[in-house]
Amino acid sequence: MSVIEIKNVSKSFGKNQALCDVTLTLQENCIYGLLGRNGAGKSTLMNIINNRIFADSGEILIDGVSNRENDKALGKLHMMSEHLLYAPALKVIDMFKAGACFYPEYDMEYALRLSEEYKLNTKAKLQKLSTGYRSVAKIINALACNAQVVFFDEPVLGLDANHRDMFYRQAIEKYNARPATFVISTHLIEEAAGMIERAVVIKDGKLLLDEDSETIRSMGYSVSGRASLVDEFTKGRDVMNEETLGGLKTAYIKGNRTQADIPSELEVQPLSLQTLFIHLTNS
Amino acid sequence: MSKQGFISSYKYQLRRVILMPVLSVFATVATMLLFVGLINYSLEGKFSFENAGSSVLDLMAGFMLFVYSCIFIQEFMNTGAANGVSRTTTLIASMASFFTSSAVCSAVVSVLSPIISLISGGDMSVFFLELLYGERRFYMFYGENAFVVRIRFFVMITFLCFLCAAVGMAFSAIFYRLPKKGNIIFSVILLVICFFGYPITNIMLEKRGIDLDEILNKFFDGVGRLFGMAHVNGSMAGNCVQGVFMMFIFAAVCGVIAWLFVRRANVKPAPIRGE
Repeated sequence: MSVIEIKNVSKSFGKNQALCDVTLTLQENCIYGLLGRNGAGKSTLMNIINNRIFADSGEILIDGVSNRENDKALGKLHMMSEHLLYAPALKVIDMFKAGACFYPEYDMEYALRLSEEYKLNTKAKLQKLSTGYRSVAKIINALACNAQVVFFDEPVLGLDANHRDMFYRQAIEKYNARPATFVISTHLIEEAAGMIERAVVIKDGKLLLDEDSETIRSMGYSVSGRASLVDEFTKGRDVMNEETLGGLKTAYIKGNRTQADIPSELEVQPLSLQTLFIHLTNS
Repeated sequence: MSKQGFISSYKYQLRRVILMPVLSVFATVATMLLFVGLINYSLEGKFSFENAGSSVLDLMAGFMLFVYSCIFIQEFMNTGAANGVSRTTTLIASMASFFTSSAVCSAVVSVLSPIISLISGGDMSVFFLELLYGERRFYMFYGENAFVVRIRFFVMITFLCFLCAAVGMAFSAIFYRLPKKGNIIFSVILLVICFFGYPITNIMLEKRGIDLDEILNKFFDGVGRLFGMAHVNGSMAGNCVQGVFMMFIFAAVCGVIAWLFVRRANVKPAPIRGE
């Protein structure tokens, strides 16, 4: 079991308030999408949870125990960050061996198999790898460590479409084979939306949304069709956004849809996570 | 601190540092022998290691430990942070791994020293610690078992290296804690103290009629007494047990200083060349 309770966490860097009184609970065995615009405070929050930086106020409890300088709590977590925390001169295989030193359930065989699949040269030094392959090495390390909670901060940074697809597939396979909590922070929301079970949206350091995917889908919908019909339909409704292409129009509407109200000429689709995210973070 | 965290950190760190200081000592000795050989060849037309000395090999080993502890602390802290180990555990494991490395280095120095003496055809090489605590042959001359004398110096060199490593850790911890600007200011202050500290202080004290050299002599005498060194006792032999004990205490103090700086430090990722 690994439940992470984030209680009233605030953090400032000089005059910039990175996090403001964030309270959130990350439940066990769930794939979270930690979403927010650049500088929203996603990485700061993950770094605080992982004891890499310290909060100005508030506390983080992992299974009821504070994470501050606490090996027992921190040992349940692993964070794949954008930055490299291993020695740049270290070989990929040595990074895996280091991981195996620290995580008793580290699966070296799995790490080597994934390396082959990604065509990652395990004898190469980390500093010699391209940004994409460095991300691949860190992804493999994170998936192989078998920690109870794994944080991925911009995991697909520099990865090509094929490798990104492989990552999403492997993360889901890993999750199915060995349930754990994955927290994924990414800007490629549309791509990751399929695997996210619960979305946490942060805006300007404040928690904006913490809902499961189903609820998010039911929070709104889009209607498309002839512009005049769409306009007529949207009258008096809470429209988040509109897109027009020639005579066709798509409107994104907030609220629950009732099938009976919608004219048969209009196409109705559930709201995507990305659309909701853009709406929430733009307003 | 957890047992698992300590053991994992210790294993990882030992793998990284165990050989480096030893190889550096070997490389320095090999270079020294090569140069002596070449000088002998150019002067006498014959390649030999005659007159090759390996004095203060222990101090050099200590210096290596200082340099490597300065280099590796940031990596150890980051690797610990990347793998769910607290700063405190990482630092304690670092102390343990550098102590082990010091012991290995001391063993190498203890074995190398007589070998070099043998191939250079000269006297037994002098350790730095012999200058402070009395020469090995003095102890043997007064009836002490040669093996015991060697063990005594092995232990002393181990603790000298450990103290040097701990000082390096404390320095490195300060750099790890400070932001970039702070690091530059701290480096400048250090350089100013090293190069201009003595003359500036001397001039300032001279104006008040105080002799700095006298103060320094008293200070070093005090340090000598504290560490049980031979020359302050007016004897040929120093108090080795007291020396080892004080080296351990000072290493522990450096460890505490390093901990005070590191415990609230943000993790600093390593820069990658060209990025």
